[in-house]
Amino acid sequence: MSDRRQDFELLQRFTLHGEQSAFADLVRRHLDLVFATALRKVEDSGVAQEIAQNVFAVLARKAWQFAPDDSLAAWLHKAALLESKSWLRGELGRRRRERTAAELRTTMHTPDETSAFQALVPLLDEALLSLREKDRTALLLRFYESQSLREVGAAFGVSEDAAQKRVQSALQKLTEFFKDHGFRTASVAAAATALQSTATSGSASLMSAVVGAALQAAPSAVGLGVLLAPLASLSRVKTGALCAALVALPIAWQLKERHDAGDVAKRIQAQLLDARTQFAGAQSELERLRGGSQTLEQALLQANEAARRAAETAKAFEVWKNGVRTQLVAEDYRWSDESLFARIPKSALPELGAVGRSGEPFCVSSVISPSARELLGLTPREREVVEETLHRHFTDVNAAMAARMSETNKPLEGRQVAGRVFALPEFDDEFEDDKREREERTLAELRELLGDERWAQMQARENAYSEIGLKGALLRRQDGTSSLSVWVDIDESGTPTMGFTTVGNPAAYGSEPLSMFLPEGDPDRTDGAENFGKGLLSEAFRQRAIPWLQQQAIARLRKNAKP
Amino acid sequence: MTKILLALSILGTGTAGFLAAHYSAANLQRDASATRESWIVQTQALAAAHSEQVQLAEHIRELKQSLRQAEAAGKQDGAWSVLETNRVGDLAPKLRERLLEELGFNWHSPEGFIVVSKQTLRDIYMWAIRQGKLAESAVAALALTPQERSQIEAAMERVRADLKDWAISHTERREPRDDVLAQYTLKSAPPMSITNHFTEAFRTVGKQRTELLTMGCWPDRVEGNIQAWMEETGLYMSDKPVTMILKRFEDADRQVVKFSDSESGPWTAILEPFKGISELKFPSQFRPLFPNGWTDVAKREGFEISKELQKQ
Repeated sequence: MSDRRQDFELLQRFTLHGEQSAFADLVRRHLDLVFATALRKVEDSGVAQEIAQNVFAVLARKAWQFAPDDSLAAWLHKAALLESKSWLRGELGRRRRERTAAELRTTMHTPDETSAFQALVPLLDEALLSLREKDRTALLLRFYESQSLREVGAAFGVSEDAAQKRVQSALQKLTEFFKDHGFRTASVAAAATALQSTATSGSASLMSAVVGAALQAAPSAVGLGVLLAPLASLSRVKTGALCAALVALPIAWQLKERHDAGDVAKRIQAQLLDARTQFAGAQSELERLRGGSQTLEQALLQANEAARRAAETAKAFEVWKNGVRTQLVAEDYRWSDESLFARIPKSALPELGAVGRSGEPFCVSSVISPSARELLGLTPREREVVEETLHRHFTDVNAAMAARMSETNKPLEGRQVAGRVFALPEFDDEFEDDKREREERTLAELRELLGDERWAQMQARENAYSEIGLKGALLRRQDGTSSLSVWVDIDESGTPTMGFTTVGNPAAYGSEPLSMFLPEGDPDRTDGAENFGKGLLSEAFRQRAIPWLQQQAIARLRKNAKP
Repeated sequence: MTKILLALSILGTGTAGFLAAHYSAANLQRDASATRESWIVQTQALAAAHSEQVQLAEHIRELKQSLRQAEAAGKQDGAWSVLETNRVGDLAPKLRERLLEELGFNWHSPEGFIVVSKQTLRDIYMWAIRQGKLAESAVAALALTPQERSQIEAAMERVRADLKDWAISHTERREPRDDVLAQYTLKSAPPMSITNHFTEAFRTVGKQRTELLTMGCWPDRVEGNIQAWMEETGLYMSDKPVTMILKRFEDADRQVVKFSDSESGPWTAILEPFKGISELKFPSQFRPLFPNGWTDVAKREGFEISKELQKQ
């Protein structure tokens, strides 16, 4: 076992188990070194003993700090020096230095009488401290602890020869230190002699005193040492790594906490911003809804008021209707100037007038006049069906007529610039038969719709007042027109107008602005095209003439148009 | 000692780092906590706002539903407002049709009758007079009571008698000469006071029926004109002197009788004894004198007319 390892184990036993014998072994092993060092500095054995006690007391307190590779000898040497210097700095030290100085002054006058190695002694410890720890330890073990070269080698884990070389090398370095400090004659042998001459052995009583004092000073340090000893047993790298690991974990934990807190803060901040944005949107929407609600509430108030008025109106209307019904269905019916209506016996209908103010009851446009509608007692649905039937009939007839219609240019007269003649030929027997059959079919449908009683009334009325009879009244309107001439002329102001005339029965003529045939949406279009020739011309002629007039209107009235 | 220092340095530095990190983390956690508090408050406010939104939306939905119902219930019947604000005769055809539908009047109801608007009675121009008397159809359509009818017909008779008396006293006759077969002149217009007899009768039937009775003479006559109505009853009242002349003309191999009156112009009407003549061409101003027209004139002046004309 190496010397160092042995020191470490003794320290461990003392630190961990409180074995005083182990500490006593340590004192025994190194007391000479410490005592000699102190004595060399203070040159007073009593003081040196006191210093040795102090040094070992310090060792007892700091025993837990040592690592296996630490050189206890080097540490004790240094501690002894420091303790000696400390003592020397005190009052006694000053006096001692004054005396020493006086002695030096005396001795300096006789340098030749002083042996060479004695001159080196004062600088010996300084020289030892200048060495590397291993060199210093080697010298301390060899000279102050009187170990053999083999033991020194064992302390360093090397052979005896290597220990020899290390001791020699250390002595050489010590010698060079002395030379550097003015001792030209210093040699390895002088240095070795100086070391040997300053080695002093402590007595057994001294050892006993030192152990006792140290153990007295150390007890409290032993407990702490127990705790810190494992740490002290580590190397610096390991210690650093352990401490770094010790602090890294909580720091990492805190950093993680900080990171997590940061993440949470960011997330919550984002959520807060999002919530604020949503809240602002919700507030805006709320304002809108509140406004809408207020508007609706006001509208509802008004609507409720209107509903109340409507209910009153409906009630009044119902009362009015009941009054009208009562008056009109009464057995003793009397005329009332207040009533909108009058009751007529059906038997009087055939003789009630010949024609209405607006013409025949049934118009060519398939619309039943209001007076005819009332005289026939038609419900709205019945009127619609009758008008649909008539419309279908006239549409078919007009289509057949239009298919046979010829179209030629009209010889122009006066201011006329364009003209067309639409003419119907004499219809052949086939057409007439077809037309007659169609008319009979339509009349049968109408009779079915209206019923025999009404049909008889209509027939009697038409026979009484119309030469053409019911069939003519219903179905033969404007059939007598054989041709229609339409033209465009330019009036005195230069504006194109249109005119038309018919041949046949009814004879018709007229003049209208050409602009009413412009397309819908045209800013220059005037009203009236939809009524052109109505009641005068059959739809067959209208269907042929209107497209030609529209072409003329576009060609002559549109801007940039070229007629 | 070096190890201790190293350890202390590392531990100290680590402790400082730990404390700094701890302080920073604590600050961040405190900030996060404060932010979380704000977020919770904001979220609660947002939840409250959303809740209010939902309530408001529901309220608005209910309001809209109520409004729709109220608006539907509040729709004024256009017919009633028209009835309240318009004259009886101004109802549009569509509205008249709707009213008749709502009242339940059509061809089948009421039985035996048809209900029409008074506007229709105006539009169809009832023939109020038939051969000098009230037409049965007009009496029925206007619901004239027997008393009303007799009053009107009595007034007609009185007017007719007064007009005849006046005509007799104001007509000048010239004796036939040469080719002139007859010549009569009504020297002045009859006084309008003659029509006063109608005033009382028409007052009985009322304004509406008076208009309908008097306007139905002919479409191009002035509506409500009693004078025009009288013309239809054969009671023509010219407002200026009028002369009727019948003269024989030689036309190729046959004789032609022409008449002229001061209103029709000279010799514009042809009287052809042997081919018939329109009764309408007899000047109605002289009808009170000659109720049977040309027949009475021929009988009075002693010339012959065709049998066809006598029949008319």
